[in-house]
Amino acid sequence: MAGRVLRASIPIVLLVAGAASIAAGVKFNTHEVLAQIEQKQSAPKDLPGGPSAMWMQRGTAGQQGPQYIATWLKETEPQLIQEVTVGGLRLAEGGKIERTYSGDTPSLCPT
Amino acid sequence: MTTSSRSGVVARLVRWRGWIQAAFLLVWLDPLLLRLHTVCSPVFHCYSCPLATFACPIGVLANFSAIHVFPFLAVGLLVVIGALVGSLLCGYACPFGFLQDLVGKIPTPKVHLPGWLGYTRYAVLGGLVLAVPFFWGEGHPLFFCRVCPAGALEGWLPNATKAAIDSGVFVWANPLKLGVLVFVVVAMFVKWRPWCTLLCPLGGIFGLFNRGSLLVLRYDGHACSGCGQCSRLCKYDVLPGGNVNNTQCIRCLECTKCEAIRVGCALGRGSNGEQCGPAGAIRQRRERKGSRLYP
Repeated sequence: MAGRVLRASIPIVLLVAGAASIAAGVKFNTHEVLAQIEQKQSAPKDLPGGPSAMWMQRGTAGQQGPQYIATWLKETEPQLIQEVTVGGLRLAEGGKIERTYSGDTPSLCPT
Repeated sequence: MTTSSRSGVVARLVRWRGWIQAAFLLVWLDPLLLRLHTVCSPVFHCYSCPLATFACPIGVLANFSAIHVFPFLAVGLLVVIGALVGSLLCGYACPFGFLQDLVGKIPTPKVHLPGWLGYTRYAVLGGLVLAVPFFWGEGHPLFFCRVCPAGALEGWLPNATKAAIDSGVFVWANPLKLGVLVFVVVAMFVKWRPWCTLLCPLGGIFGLFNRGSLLVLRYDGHACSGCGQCSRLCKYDVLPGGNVNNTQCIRCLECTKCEAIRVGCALGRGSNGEQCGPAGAIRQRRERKGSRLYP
């Protein structure tokens, strides 16, 4: 009898744990991702040492290319899943997560 | 709560298995072009496939391991599916398994390998899916997606072909990935479901739930004559005679054609067959005949 109750309770416990894990992933599992965001306006000038220190200009000198600024984005787990499906995330030095691309999202995973 | 294997539902499921697998392709192959890549599917289907509705759970596990993030969503989904039906989706819904079943129908001689080789799936899971990405990142040549045959077949091949048509340049996959693909494709001709039974990490995960899922297979010793029919019905070398809910089983339910094995619910009455199977009865019968355990 006890064995039967134990065997019956295992899938129930697993179901509850799995559902809790899904809920935790959807609601609470957010991570900061370092991303290069295209900036349409001019670079901020009053943030020495801040994100504007990482301001960069793409394209050759003398050309007006898109401008990108490094910024931290909070991404939920579904967003992280979408990012990894195109190989869009990697672990940077210091254990931080960063995007592997700037601008448009790649269409395919590089592997 | 027990459903007799001779009752309509399970018998029809088994009879229509090929069509059920084909119908599931409509879910995984994104006919509505939804591209729901924020959600994992519970099957082995590469998200680089131009027709992938969902993200591959193994690809997500490997990539999350590489960025040192615990994938609550993917793990939760696998646990829920595993707790409900164990590895039933391997047998009835997985597109890569369906492909292997189709190739396996080509009448070539099939080899039978020992069931314990199925434990290599856990080496693949622990090594290529979790450890290599965690310690060496996604750039390592043994990162799982870089050697995955489903990724090669469903992702690289159509995309490289499309790129070749567009630009005239065919980009080859890395040699290791190509080698694994060729090996698996050749193996499909000589063994039923070689990837699923020997190497698939997702099948390994779902297999762990077979003993603890709501859906269970039950062995009825009173109905068993020890004829070994269940072992002969199993094409995948799982030998349900030993344990009807073992971790190697993909739950195609073919063995339920035998009167002694039934599909049931863990909440129902009776033995769930965890530690028993018809092996004892088969052994006695074989010993009487002076032959070995399994035919």
